[in-house]
Amino acid sequence: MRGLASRRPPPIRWIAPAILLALLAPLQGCGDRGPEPAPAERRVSTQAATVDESRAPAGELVDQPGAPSPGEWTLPGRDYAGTRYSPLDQITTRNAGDLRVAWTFSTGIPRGHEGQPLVVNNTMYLVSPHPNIVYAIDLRNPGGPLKWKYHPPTDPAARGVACCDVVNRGASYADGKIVFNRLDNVTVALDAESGKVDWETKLGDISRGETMTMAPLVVDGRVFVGNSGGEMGVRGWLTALDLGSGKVLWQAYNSGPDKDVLIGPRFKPYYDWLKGEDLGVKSWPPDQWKRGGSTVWGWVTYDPELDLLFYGTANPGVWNPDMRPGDNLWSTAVFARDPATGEAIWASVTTPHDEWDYDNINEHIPVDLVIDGKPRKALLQFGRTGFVYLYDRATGQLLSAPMYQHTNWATGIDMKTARPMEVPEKKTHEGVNVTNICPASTGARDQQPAAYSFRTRLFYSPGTNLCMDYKAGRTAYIAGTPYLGAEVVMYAGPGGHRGEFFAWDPVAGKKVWAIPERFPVWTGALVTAGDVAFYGTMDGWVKAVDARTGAVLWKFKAGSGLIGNFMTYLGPDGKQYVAVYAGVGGWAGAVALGLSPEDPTGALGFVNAMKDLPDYTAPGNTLYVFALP
Amino acid sequence: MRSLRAAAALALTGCGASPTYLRGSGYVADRLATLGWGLLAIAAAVVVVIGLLVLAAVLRRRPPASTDRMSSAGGLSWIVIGGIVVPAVILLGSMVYSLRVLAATDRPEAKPALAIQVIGHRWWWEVRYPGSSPQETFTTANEIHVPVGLPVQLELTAADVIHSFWIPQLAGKTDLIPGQRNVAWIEADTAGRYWGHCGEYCGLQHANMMMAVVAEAPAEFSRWLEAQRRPAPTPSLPAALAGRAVFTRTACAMCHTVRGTEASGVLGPDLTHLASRRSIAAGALTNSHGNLAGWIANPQALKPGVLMPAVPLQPDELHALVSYLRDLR
Amino acid sequence: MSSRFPERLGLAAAVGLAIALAGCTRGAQGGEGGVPGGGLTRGEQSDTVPGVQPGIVPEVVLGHVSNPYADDAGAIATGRQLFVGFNCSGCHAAYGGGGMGPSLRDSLWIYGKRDAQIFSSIAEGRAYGMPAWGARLPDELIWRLVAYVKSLGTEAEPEKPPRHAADKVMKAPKPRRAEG
Repeated sequence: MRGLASRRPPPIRWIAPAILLALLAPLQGCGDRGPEPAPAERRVSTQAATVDESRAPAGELVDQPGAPSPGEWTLPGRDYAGTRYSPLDQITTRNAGDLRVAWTFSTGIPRGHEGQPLVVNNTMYLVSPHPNIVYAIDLRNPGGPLKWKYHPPTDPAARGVACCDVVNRGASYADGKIVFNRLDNVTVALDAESGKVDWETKLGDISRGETMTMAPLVVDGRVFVGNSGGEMGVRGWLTALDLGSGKVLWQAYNSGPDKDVLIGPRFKPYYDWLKGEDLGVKSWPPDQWKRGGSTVWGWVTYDPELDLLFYGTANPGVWNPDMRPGDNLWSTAVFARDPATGEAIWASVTTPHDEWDYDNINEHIPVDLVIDGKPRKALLQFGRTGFVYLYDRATGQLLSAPMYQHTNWATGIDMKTARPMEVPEKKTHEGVNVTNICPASTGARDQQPAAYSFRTRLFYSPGTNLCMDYKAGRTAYIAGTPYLGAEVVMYAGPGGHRGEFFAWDPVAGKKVWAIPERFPVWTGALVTAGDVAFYGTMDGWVKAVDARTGAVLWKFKAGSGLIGNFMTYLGPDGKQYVAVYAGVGGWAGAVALGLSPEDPTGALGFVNAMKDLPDYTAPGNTLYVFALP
Repeated sequence: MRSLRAAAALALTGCGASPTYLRGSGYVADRLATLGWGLLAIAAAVVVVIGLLVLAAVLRRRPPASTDRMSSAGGLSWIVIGGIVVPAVILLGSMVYSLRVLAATDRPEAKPALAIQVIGHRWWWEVRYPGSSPQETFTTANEIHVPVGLPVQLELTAADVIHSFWIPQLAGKTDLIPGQRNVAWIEADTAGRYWGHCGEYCGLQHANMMMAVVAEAPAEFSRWLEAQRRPAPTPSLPAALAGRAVFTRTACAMCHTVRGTEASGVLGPDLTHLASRRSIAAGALTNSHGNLAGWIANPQALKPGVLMPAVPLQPDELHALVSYLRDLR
Repeated sequence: MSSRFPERLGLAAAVGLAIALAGCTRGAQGGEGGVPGGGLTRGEQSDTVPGVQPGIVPEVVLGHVSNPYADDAGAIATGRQLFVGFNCSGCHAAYGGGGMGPSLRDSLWIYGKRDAQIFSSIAEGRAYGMPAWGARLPDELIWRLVAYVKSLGTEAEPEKPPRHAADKVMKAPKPRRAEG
């Protein structure tokens, strides 16, 4: 028998500490994050999209009602339809790789820069985040002094009632005036040449939690303005002002009795459940419609042929759905209105009795399509809900609603009623933490607008891939404070990439190609006749891609993350320029503005999904203008 | 505290039936009370029989000693029958009887006429009535009205700690647990006012967390529902009008709701129809002008530990405020 | 090498890493770097330093006011209830991390971190949109809120924020491929 002492120590005694070391070692670097490779730019297309050369050959103008001369940009979406399509074609898929910075300009306000500059009469106009300073840059003399600058007396306290950073989504130009909204509920018209105030109209009150962030649309001498504050228990409306004087022409609320919602004999909704009297009162508990949200903080578009305005309404006020039993009309709706009188012509509702904050304010783009062999006057919207809504814009009939992102709160939309087919397990309730709801309340996409190319017949849209946990709770209503009643935590959806830029075929109802991104893509898209599409990322990358294949042609790292919308113009030298703001913030970027990452519910749940954003970028305030050499 | 107990006793006697569980007035309570008496009877009988046996064993004369060492003294049958079979039968029988009563009272025979949500707070009860349409929902506090003779379902939860819903004359205790939804039901046989208590220790004022269940004929019950659904009307008296301004401009509106005004707080009970309730502070005080004034002036003196603070008001403000609250019928 | 060397080595390594990790978690609490208060604590004004010493607020200015509910766990718990009930959580997030309003958990106190200064911020409101609650809430409620705000990020915090995975990736379908 061998002595015990002569036995070698069993190998297990080395294995335990080795395992311990192996487990703990990866955590050692938890303080400093080493550089991580960017997600591969898989733009995953196997076949190029068809370019219909016969329809819109390069260089030839497309009919874009409301659009100015090819080298200018006077409306937020360039034309009444908001297609964000430019006929300029100097920058092409062949030379986009040579783009470089031509010049830059800082607005001086290091908060989120949404919106887009305007260019008209060789002057560029910028509106900064609160306090909403307006800059006029003489493009003939970019190195010289500003043409003018207007610093409005915007109320500083307005910052305290703006839910999602103090952004501004831009101005409109018409009849020699620059028209924009101040965060403190004043619509301002400035003389475009001198910068003097032409008129100012106060439309709301921050004491009621109201603000204004949207870009007004000007059509035929009328300015269309909507309010913000769906998180503050505000009652939403769309107001028309006279461009000449600023006087209120009409105001259409989006909740309450028919006489306030301007629903009258001309209102002909396509679906029966939307027909009835005072549905904006009856579908709420008593008086709750007065805090009905349904604000209009997104985009307004217009079809001159049918003479209809299109816009969507926001969430129905309090986020706790059990505090407002009923369908909560007319929240999360799309309205078609007569621009002269404001009367509602038709409407449809995407999430009656919304339980997830799926505002419906994303842009509705009117576009003529051929569906099933028939030409249709269509209206397309990428919904927050994860569905692409394609309507007949004359009647409000929903033609199709395919899913475009991972969505599990509903299995689809019932085409007979346009109501969603909800999944019971994903319905939110007071006192219950419902987990893994996709998309998150920010939606499969938020306000950052898409572009439509008349050449490729495709839409180019930013996208978000986030899911959430949503726990509703009882909340007080105290005017001037949030009216929420929900604790939300967001996180990356399946796949781990939180954003995407994709091309969408509206007729086939499918993505043609998609570029996943680390962070939600929060910039508005631009597409040009050179078949180049532009977008940016929240960690600061400006990208130009081939509109047909999605191949990345060029990229540039800007000084701050991008959440603004691209635009392009012709300089006085006849060259094509592309401009975009770089200044991270907004709802998605709030964490970069100094919030605490250990509270996952911060910024209505976005903090948890974006904890790593400060590792990539910090607040900025620079306009970048790019051109070919 | 002494003043509070006196006031509580006064309040209770002013309301009629004392909360005894020995005599049920509802379907559930009836049967539970009967079960209680039944089990008591069985237990008493057992005690008596055992007592007699013990007595007999003590007083019985011992039989003479037997020479047979190993002979059985007998009595095994006593052990088997009296010690195993009979108790088993009695216990099993009691268990079956109990289970049958519990099964019979678990669900109402008919579909409940309505389902009321009760949320327990420290130390008051929030009551939410549903409606067939969103226009008909409303919230009240501390007083539940039900139609006589019809089963009513209660959905119970709590906002902070565990409470327990207990109306001795109508139903046994069912816990209100935060984050959980428990379901109970009651059915009152006769019209009347039934007092209830919180049945689970929930803090300093657990003993002063009372509620009333008022059973009414269906017509009266409908009238009550209609009245509760209406928002608070504009007061007609100038004092009450001034009081409404005090209510909405000072701290009151931060914690309380009065439908029809800006006041939409949720930390305290809904006061829209406060004047229709017979007591305030969850049964601790009768709803009178003096009690209201005293309560608002210094709630901590009457019910120490409650969330409601003493709001500094001028005497005329307090008077106007109380006039307004007395007007909220 | 003794036969117990492997265990000793493993233990030493584990202890060393644990110490290193402790440094990581503390960093997470501080918000962004470069925040005052990290090094020397500047409390009362010094008699020997001349001038008005920016950044130090002496007691005489604050009016010798202190929070009657400092370190009172019951009051802090009530303060939490008020924080939610008065919608503070709507602007400052459910656990004070910030959103519309700044974070209350980090070490940057824009208007001062003394109890009396926090009381002022709540009662008087601030220029960029903090409402003036002093008009509507009695002092005793505001002091409870002060006690709760001071407890954020400390052991005394009654309801700590839930730990949520930053990048909870679910079972993923394949990345979107182009259709035909």
